[in-house]
Amino acid sequence: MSFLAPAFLWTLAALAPLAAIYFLKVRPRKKPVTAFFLWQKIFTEKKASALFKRLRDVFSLLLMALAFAAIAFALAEPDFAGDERKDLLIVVDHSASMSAKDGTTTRLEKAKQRARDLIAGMNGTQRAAVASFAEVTRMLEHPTRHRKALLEAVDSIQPTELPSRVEALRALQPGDEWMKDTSVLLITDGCLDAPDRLPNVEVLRITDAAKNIGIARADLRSVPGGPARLGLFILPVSSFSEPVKTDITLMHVDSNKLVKIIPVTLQPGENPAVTLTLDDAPTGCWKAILGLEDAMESDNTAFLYVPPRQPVPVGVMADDPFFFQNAVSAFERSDQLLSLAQDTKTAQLMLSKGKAPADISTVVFQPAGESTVWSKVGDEIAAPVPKVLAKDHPLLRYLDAETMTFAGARQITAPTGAVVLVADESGPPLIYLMRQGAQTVCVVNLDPLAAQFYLSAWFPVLIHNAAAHLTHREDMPPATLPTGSSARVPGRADPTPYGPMVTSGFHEADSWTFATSLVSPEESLLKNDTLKESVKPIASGEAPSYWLLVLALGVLVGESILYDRRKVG
Amino acid sequence: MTLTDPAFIRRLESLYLLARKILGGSLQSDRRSTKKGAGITFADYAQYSLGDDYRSIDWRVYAKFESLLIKLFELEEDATIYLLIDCSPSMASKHAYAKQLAAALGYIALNTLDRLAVYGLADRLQPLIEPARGRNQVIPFLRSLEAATTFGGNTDLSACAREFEARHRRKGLVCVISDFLLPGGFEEGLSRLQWHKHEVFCLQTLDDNDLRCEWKGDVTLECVETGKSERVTISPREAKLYEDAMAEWNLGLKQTCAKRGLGFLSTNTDVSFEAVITDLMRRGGLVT
Repeated sequence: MSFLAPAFLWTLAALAPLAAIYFLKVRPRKKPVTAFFLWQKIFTEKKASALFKRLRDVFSLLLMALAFAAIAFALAEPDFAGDERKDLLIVVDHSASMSAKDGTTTRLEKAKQRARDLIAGMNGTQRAAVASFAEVTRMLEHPTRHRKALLEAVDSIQPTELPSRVEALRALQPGDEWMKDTSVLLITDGCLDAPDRLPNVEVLRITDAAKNIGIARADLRSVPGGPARLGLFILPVSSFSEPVKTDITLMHVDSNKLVKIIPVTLQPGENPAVTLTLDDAPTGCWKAILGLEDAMESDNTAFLYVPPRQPVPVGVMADDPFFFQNAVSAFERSDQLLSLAQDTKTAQLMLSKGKAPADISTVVFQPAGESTVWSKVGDEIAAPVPKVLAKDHPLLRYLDAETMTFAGARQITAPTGAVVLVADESGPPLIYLMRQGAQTVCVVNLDPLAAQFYLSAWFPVLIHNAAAHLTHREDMPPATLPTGSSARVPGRADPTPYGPMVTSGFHEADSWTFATSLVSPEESLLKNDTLKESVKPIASGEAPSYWLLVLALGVLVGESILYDRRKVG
Repeated sequence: MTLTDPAFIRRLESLYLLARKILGGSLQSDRRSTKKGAGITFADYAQYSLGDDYRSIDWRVYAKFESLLIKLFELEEDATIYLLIDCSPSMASKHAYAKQLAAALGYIALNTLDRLAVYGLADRLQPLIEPARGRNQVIPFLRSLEAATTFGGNTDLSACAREFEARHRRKGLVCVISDFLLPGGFEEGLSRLQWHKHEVFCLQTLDDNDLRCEWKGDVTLECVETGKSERVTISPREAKLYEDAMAEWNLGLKQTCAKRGLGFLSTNTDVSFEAVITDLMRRGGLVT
């Protein structure tokens, strides 16, 4: 035990004069009585022991001395914890797993209580800040000594359905001067996405024996083999110590129809995926529900959205349309992204050879003649060597452009404003994009026949990528997004993402619906023993000084009652 | 107000007039007696028995009924009133009141031509007024009473009764005015007084401090008579025990008096002495 303000121990010296004053001042009053013999009779019957009698005489003095000593020790601020007394940044994990129930309380409530105890344990010179942590880290109260503000900040932390993201904690590692002498305390249950990548924080673990099952991954999408066929994928996890039997209920939300009940037996930990193909399944909103009462409810339901089947009508402008038409038909049969337009008027996308129509997004092969999207079509490039300039562009996804043969490529010049994705080493562009008002033209500078491109594996890939990119459908969101996600709305030219969507369920964004679910094995398993609690001593709970003052107050009240009883007559 | 104050004496006079009305006497011995003897006022008949005075046989009755009956007359005597006033220190707070009661009784006695003797009681007997008779003794009596102070230590009624008996063989009415808070008890003293054929009347005088314990806490209790002290803590429980003990003590006194046929009246200093004397007269407490 040490004292933070040992100088105050000198106040104990005042006990001696206090005792002297007591003996001088406190003497019982004399009371003359006429029936002394009656009093003698009464007190003979209840004769106290000599020791007690002596003690009783100085009882008041002993109580006052005890109260005085308690106050003196309280002023000296005894410290039993051995805390370094650095400033604190208290980070409370309020991710989804912290909502797990343990009896009548939740992990989050326990964490908040722990935070309150830490705040109560601060001494007068310490400062503290409060932050919440889940998918992002939010500063709720900046460094202060104002306990009430800190406690209010702790009280304001609410449970979420968000998964934890350790990367978000890095925002707390700063070059802030205050942080140099600050202990960062993370109060968590340890269910983090990457506990091994935790920055330099001290961990205070909340542990319990909560048992939970949950859906850690889910998907529902169109699959080849039929016009209305959907494939379901569910990955359940369990933190029960023994196998548990339950059902997965699959519902079509739009029609409020129970589609399927799948009985499953869940083993502890991660389980094999449950897959299912649904024929004649409508698109729209779906729900997969695990029907077992457990510690956390939010991960028992996966919300899934299957967009309506609306293929992009594609027109073909080529003297040899066969391969283009077959490519489009192939995608119509598989993921239904494209369909062959009846005529060019109804088409939203054109596959063209040589020409670039002005009013529609087009993929143009083998540019020729005059056009606004290229200039100076010159001679053929001899043995073009492709070089990728925009490697991560969505149009080049799954496409190894450097291995492609660009036979028949011409010396052309891309207009100003064009985005060149692939170019010949000598400079002429081989694949580039040019924006024309609301439309975009993708120019592929090769002769498909000379390059035998129709027979290449890259042909359908390029067609698919270009069609998806030009119609803004390259980033089709999955059937369900993790809570806390943001996503670009498919088909919308504006690239600003919608969100973040912090609650699970369906979210309407323009003409699109997003489904979000708590799909995180770390959150659902509720258990992570790899993260150990820090062993550094940290003072928590009311300070010893507080309890000493309470003791002093109690003793003084007791003494006052006794004193009044004995002195007031 | 002193005992010789004219106003006080007027109050005594009023009380005396009231006493006369109650007692009904107007002769040599103004107080009527319950005893039968050689007076002139016919009281009753009685069967003749051997040794009775022939002169008292009612021959007319004998002539008529051939039965020997004697006539009885009310005894006319001058009684002796003894007032024993407790003058121990325990009576300090009630002494003035006790003296007022004694003054009233003495005044009536002297005015009815009874013999009056007054003594102070404590650990010994101290004469305050030697036996005296007549209305001219009223002022000396009141002066002596007024000059009386408390003295001595613990009241020893038994010792005082012994001394009293040694001084006075003549029977009379002994009125003891005291708080009767006697550590040595009161039975023996009263018994001794009664043994010598005195009519004994106990007039207990208390005040609120005797009856109740209003103070609580750490106190040093000090006996007003002996000076003994004890440091104690008095809680409501102890106060209640004291009040119960006091009530029991007073009940004991009352029962003793009833058992022995002694007159008894308990009063508090809050009650006016006239009311006490009037009440006493009406109850016939001082009729011998």
